[in-house]
Amino acid sequence: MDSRHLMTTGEVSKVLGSSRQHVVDLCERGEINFVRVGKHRRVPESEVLRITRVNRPVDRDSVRSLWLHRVVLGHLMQRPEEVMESSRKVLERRLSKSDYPGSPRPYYERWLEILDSGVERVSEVLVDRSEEGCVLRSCSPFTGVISEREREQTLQSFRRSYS
Amino acid sequence: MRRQELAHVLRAACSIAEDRDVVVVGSQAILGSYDEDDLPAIATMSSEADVAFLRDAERKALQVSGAIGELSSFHETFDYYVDGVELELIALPDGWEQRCVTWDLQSADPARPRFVEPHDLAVAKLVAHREKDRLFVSALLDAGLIDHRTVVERARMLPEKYAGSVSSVTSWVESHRDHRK
Repeated sequence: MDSRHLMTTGEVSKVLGSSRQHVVDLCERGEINFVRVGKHRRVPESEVLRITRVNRPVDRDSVRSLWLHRVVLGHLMQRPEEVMESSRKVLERRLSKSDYPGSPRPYYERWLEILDSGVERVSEVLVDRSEEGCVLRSCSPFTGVISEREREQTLQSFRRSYS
Repeated sequence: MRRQELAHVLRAACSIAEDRDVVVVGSQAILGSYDEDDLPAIATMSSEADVAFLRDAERKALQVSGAIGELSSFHETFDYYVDGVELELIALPDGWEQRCVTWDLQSADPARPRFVEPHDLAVAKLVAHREKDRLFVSALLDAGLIDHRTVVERARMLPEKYAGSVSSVTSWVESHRDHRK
């Protein structure tokens, strides 16, 4: 197997937002396939994608979140520099006060990585229906991007569509 | 989310719904039973608190989500938010109401919050069965904060409409226990 496509359990834990020990446990229970390289477990990148990117039916609350973030996406397309900058500031502020065990820090750090990848990647994640996409949106740094009025209108139209 | 943040959320939600009796149902319900310092990190990482009201539930859920929900100015100010939910949409074992945990944290006043008991919460999470739900339950089991036997017993108390989920929940829990031996 091509070693470029193998991830350490530490890298996988960062993607899943869990501890490394939990990734080891998932491997040992057979929930994640892995190979051994010497004494170390290595997880194929495809396996991580299988876990995090499978398009599955998402619950109503996740769909509502998706609707809100589609509105954010509209703003990102119209004024990318401003939206990227404001979300980066939100993340930096949150990170400065998230230095305690059990904080959402891993999600914020993941968002920073995504922002660093550029507008295209951010636009993909904003409407990504995978579990990872849903979890990341639940810690969204895009507060303040859409107005209260836009938000209210979106929630109303969502309710009409899903009533 | 930490206990004091949850207390703040509950004050705000109860004020908006004009109802003191609120039930915390999502992962943050674990804060009703344990202090954040006693919990595995993954148990408190969510920025969202799921709350439900017993009376006029649908209207109050919409009201709360609308006022202090995701991407609201409340979320912008405090970095956490509330999702109003309806209890009938959550897979809770029969008798969960009697097993709810209460809180005497004064900072939640005037809210009179109740929290879904940890084993009932674990069953609800395992029925949802998302990766984050399995990690949450796994962490509580590994930390000894809930036990395998009780989770299986509670899964068997799920209402009829969730009958199809009982075997998958019990299999998952038994597999977790066998791995721990």
